[in-house]
Amino acid sequence: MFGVARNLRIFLSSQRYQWLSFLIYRSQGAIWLVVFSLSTLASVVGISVIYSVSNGIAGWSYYQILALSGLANTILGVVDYLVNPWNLVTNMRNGTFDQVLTKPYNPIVLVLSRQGWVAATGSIVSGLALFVYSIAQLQVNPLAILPALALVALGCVAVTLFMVFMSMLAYVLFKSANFLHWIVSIAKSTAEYPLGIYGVTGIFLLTVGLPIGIASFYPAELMFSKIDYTPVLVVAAIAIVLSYLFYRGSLWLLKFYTSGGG
Amino acid sequence: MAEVIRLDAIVKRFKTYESETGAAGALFGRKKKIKTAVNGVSFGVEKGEIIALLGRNGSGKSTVIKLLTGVLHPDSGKISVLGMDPWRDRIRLARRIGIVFGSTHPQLFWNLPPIDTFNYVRDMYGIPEAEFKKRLDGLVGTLTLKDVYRRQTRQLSLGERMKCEFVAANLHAPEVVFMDEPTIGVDLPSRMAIAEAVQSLRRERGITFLITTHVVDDIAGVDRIILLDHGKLVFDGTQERMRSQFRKSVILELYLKLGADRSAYAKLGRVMTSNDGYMKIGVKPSVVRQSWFVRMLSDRNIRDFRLSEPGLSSMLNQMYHRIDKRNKKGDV
Amino acid sequence: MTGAWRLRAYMAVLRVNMKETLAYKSDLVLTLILSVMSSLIYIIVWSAVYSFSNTSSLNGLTLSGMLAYFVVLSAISPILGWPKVVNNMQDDIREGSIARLLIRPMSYVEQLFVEAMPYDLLFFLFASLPIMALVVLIGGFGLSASTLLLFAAELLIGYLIINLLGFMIGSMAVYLTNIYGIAEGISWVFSIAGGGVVPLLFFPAEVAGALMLTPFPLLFYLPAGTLIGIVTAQQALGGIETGLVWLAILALAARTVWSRVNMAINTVGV
Repeated sequence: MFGVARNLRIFLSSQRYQWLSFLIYRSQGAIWLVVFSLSTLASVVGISVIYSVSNGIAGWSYYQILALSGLANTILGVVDYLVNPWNLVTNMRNGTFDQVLTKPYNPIVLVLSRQGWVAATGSIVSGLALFVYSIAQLQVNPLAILPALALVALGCVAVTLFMVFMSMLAYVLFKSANFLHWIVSIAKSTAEYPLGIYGVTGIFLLTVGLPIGIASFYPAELMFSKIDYTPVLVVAAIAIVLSYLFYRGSLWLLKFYTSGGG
Repeated sequence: MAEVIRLDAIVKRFKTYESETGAAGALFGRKKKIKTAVNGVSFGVEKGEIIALLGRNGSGKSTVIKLLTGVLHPDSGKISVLGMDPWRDRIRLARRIGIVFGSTHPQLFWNLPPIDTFNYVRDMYGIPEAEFKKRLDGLVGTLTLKDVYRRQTRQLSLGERMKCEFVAANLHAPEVVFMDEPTIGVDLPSRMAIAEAVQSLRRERGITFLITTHVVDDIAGVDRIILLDHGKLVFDGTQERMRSQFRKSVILELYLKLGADRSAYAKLGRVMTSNDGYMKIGVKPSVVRQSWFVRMLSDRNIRDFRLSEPGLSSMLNQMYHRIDKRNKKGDV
Repeated sequence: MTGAWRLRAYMAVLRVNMKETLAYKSDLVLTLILSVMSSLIYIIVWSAVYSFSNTSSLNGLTLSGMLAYFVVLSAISPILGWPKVVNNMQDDIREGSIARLLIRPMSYVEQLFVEAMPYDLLFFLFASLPIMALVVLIGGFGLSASTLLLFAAELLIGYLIINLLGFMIGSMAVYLTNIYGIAEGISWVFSIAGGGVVPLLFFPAEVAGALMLTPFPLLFYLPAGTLIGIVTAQQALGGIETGLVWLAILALAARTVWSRVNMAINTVGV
């Protein structure tokens, strides 16, 4: 408990200085927040066009898909906020990561505290706005939302730790993380649509491989009463196991850190 | 005095890749090579010592620092810092050590003034406010940063930034401070200020310092010099010991009348510079004590002269020459 | 600088940057594969849309046409959809390494374009060409010389447009501390407006008409549509004309932006 409190304290302190750094240039801060909202806007336009020319996707209504898209954008915004894979791998490659390893804290906590993009708040806010608007249109019972949000939180943790793990793996194997840009892009594209359209392989990959499905799709299904609690509990357990594995995996990969220069 | 740092037969290897030239070579040709960055290094450091870790580029100095701070782990051998294994007890050790990585890996927030980084360090190490203020005032005063630490880091000069990095690394009253090439590119006044701050902290708090550097001026006040070359320890001792081992010659500078015949003076020793009107010669100490040498200095062709001890850089150079010679003979 | 000397100098820049691009080969291969896969997601999405609508054609476009469209997009959008010059400008201007480029006896802007080419060249050779060849062969799209010519012209103009847009975004690095995020966000706008997510013929006619007056369709809809036959030769020519006008506007704008950036770098420093 003491360790958790201590790590939480440094996380919050780091956030304070991250925001201070961000807000020191207020006008560009505003630009970034708007720009990071553009992907949500792009999603709304794309989905609206699809639903204007067809019967929709896999039996989901327009607002249900919008809610799913809002959730996906929010979660990926949270992940972007906490982890910037390119920064992380570059810092590991040039040795700046030494600063993380020489501090008296869990390195994963420090990575999540200082390696993300504050501007991704734009994605989080716009995604949330879309989600809230959509479920308001659907008149979803607020009580049905709470268990779904718990699953969102678990899924978010799993996806975040997945990105940390993949970034460190990218450093160990390739010393470069350009390909992660496309993994994030694929995660965003896939998470906005019902998992069922991707087939069994797709469902497996997006639940157990890249667990974005746990954070967006299953909570949405639960909210819209498309599944009951049994598969949700299974998925929650998978999220917990995956989080643990990615966390331990990331710490193990630090053994292969070689710093930079000298 | 208790030893705070102990290394025993440390070995650290890295995998590197060499590719062929040209784009086609980059696409298809790559050879794996193993580089031994640290090769059986052993030494100890006592509490309150100031140690300079010297060596050419690629000698393993920075790797040793990273091993001592837990950033890297050794392939074999044992390391102990403040009684802890740096790799295993990294987080516990980090509370009691400070590190200055130099301008390449800063800890200052770039867009914020250094005071924000100092406050962040206070939060990170849980320094009580009164104690934090006292230490900050002390360090800021010693390093004359009063007009500096509230300006944005990106607006500061390199020397000012490095002084602030030094402050950030010492605010939590560490027992051991590692400094990895902290003065590269830093101006002379800032270098001297940092050197004085090191001495001051050692006096007041008994902090142990281990400093890697290329800048010979940085080691003026150190207690001991440890010299690494190609990952091996080749010298561990005081500057006086180094001088006595490598003092092969004293430097004789002769200011001659223009057009004077220089051939006689060339026989005095190793000619380092020879121009019309000036010569610089490395002369054996035994020669300098000879009466004929003293008489020679009164020669009418010599307008003036100067005798001096070779500087540390000159001695280091001699040492490197000797090492290279030995390596060529295969007698390492 | 004579023409032959200039060409040699830029070939030298290209060679060195090609080698840098190849320095991380495994990452490069993964990037090539995943960038293709990223567009293929939409094949699954649209297959589901057609299946649920229980129809073989939406807005005149069959499922096979839609799939071919996205396969072609997977072959060209990694080159046309992301302004790579932004990556280098971020470092050059923010970190100050622009000095090393400004002291060379060549235009900084031209160097930027050449530096961004290696990845695009490699992707074009090892991904774009094979994928497009497969689409044409399997899809049975008859390719006339004129279609190929139009397609090539659209690709070239689109390539110049995305890099000019990227240059202007990248120039903001003088004033903003992180332009990479901005480029990321703006590229979504390019994608939607250019038909990278939904073909433009699905947009309402007025909206599609307005978007065709922008440079964005040349990055996605026009080249892909020309190759698979959903864009007529007349539409393609119209798009090329519009593109040429935009090229002139963007080139002029880039020149103006660059002179301001240059001044800012010289007066304020980096």
